[in-house]
Amino acid sequence: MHITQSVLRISLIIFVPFFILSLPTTHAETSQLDNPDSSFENQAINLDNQLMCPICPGETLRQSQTTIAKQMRGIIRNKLANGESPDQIKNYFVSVYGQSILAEPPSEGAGLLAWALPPFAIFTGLFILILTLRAMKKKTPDSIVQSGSLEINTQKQLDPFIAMVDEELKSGRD
Amino acid sequence: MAELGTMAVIVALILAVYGISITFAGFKFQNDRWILSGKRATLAIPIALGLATLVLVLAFLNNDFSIKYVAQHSSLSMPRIYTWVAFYAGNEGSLLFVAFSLSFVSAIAISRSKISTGNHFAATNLVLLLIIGFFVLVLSVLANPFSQLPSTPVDGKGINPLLTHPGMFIHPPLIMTGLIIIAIPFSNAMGALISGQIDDQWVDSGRFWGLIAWSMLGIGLLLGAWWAYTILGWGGYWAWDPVENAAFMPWLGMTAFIHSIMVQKRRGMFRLWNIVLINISFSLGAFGIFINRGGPVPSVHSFGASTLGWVFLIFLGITVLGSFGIFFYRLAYLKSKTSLESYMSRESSFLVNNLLLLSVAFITLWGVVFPLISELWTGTTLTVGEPFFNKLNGPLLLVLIVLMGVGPLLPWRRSTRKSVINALAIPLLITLVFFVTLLLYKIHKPVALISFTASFFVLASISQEWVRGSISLSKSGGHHNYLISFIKLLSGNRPRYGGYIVHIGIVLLAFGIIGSQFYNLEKDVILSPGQTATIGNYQIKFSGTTTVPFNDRTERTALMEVSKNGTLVTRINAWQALYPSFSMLSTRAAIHSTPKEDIYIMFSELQPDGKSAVFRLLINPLVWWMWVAGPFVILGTLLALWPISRKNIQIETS
Repeated sequence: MHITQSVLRISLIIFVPFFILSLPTTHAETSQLDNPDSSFENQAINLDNQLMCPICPGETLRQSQTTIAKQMRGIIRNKLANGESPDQIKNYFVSVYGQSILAEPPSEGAGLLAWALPPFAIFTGLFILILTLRAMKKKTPDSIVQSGSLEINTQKQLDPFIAMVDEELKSGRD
Repeated sequence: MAELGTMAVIVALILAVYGISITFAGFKFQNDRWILSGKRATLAIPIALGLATLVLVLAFLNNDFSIKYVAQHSSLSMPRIYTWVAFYAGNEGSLLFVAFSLSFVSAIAISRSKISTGNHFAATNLVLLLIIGFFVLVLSVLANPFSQLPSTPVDGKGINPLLTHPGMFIHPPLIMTGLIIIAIPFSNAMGALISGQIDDQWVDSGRFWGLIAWSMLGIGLLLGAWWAYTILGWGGYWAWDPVENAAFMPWLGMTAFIHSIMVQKRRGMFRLWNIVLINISFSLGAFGIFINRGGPVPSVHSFGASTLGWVFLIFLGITVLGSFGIFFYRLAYLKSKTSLESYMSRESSFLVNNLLLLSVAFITLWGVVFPLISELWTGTTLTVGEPFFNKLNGPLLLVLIVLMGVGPLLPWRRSTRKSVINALAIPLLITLVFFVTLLLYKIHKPVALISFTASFFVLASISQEWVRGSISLSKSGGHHNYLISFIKLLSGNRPRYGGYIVHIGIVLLAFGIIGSQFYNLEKDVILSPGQTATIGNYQIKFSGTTTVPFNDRTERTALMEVSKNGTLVTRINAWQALYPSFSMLSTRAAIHSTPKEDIYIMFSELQPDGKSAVFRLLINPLVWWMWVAGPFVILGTLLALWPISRKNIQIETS
């Protein structure tokens, strides 16, 4: 199909250089972990971001300034220092406070719905968009095209500047 | 005093009821004199509500604690300058503000309208009056800001300490006004639909007020981010909090609208779609007000919370059902005049932009309501917080940025593949150079790298347009003064180039977000006076605290010395205050801001020994650019709104 081809082509033009050039970066990222201190603190902050403060509405542990949040941040760091994995620590807090302590819904059970609906909706939207574009294009009878080309002329009168710039862009660099 | 305020609100209610009745009658019986009388009612309401506002402000200034609202939100020790903030710090006052600002802007919009007779005008005014009337009714029946206490207390409770910040003078009014004046383009569209006069008459006014509402919301959101950054003390500026989301969603809807309405203005297309967009935006605005007024989701913004949630839920329901009901009733009228000529045109790129913006709005809405759904469905509440929104909205926003670079290069109507590649060639080449430069500067995180590059691509494509346009204007003018040509270019097509300036602002915002999300350093440390902590290249020395007691609070200031590789950079103060009456610790971070990075020090708490203290240290790269984005958004919007001068109109009609 014409439209998908051109969209694909444009996105290839835009994205391929990015991906090729970002390939070596995966190595570079792991090298940051060489510094044990920063990796520990990063892990701790990651966990702060993934857990909610149980008493303050809508705030993660990282955001909240309440005493309980400070204590929980302390527990996270102690547990990490004792060698517990981030998942173990999260499970610990879930066993104390329940599922709602997690900042994002789990990707199973009811939580799966939270994750699954948005992509589904976006693709439905995209599908409708493509259908609409096709329908809008198909119904073009000759008469409209003609009146349309008349419109181009009036358009130029209306807007000499934009026409000039468009002209310039169309002709490219000469 | 209180009686005068109550009276003013009742007068506004009477005016609204009169205006609604006479306008409806004028509409029904085709009586233009009645319609004109309805117009006068709309013009008079802001006078009554302005008087009520004035009375409440004076009550604050006079410390009239016999009025319950004043006693709850002010105190003798409150600095006078915060009177204005205290005025809208709670439910009743902020509702009065919303009603006043809506009626005020409506009066301007109505008096600006060239026609003040006929069905279209009557229907527009009727919808506006119904919305204004709703708020005035709530004010006079359910949330009277002037209700009095049985006995007058000696002192009031005082203002919420979180609100004593300069950002609070502008952030809440902008958000509230921005949200509610979506009502104006909305009633323009509804007026066109109800009257059945669905020509493109509503488009100009709808676009004008749509842009104003959009820019107010946008600047309001940005100021809110600044407030959160300096006062909430976790070093971030946006948390996908339900109330933030509630203002963000209508902004997204309006962003889609102000783009899509241009297609109708220039090409007569998307007539149906634009109505849908303004309906969605206003409904999201109504949803935002509902969430803010005691909606069922927990949020940090509980300032305006009340028990009035149900009232605004009804308002939301009527808005959604009413607007879409009218829309489907008139569906057959909404055929576009022209049809799409090519997939590679600005028209279709605007549709893709709309799809992306609405997807972000949908995901955000879904995240806000999902905890409720999960509770109703399974009995356990699942939280939807920051990581969810970042993961799902992040990629969509990135694609939007790429589109922001490509879309403006596509001409209206149609283009050939060759011309598109031609237009993209130079910007892509410059972007590639930028990309390599980033790699050389060790920007290696893939997502950050892609996002930076995509944002830069937007700048490159705008620059190309401007450079090419200026050169071609100079050529045709036969001179080499490119600056004059550039100014001529900008003023020649203000909606377009105003839009570009806003785009530059958005790119700067993106730079700040990417830099601080991917490259910030963060550390929580305990320091005794004289001790130094290291973060990144900086050494931060804690020199000690000073404590000053006040009537309502105890202020502590931590003196911090920031050095880089041994040389002193700056001395900054991290501040906190304990408010016993609110049992609240209010903080103000010490921030040393430079275009490259912010050094951010938060004074978390004093240790029990009274000397050492807990600090959160952050290095936030590029945050400075986020605040620079604001002026670009304002400037671009003003340029886009600037009316076409008489000279240009002559060109149009000749």
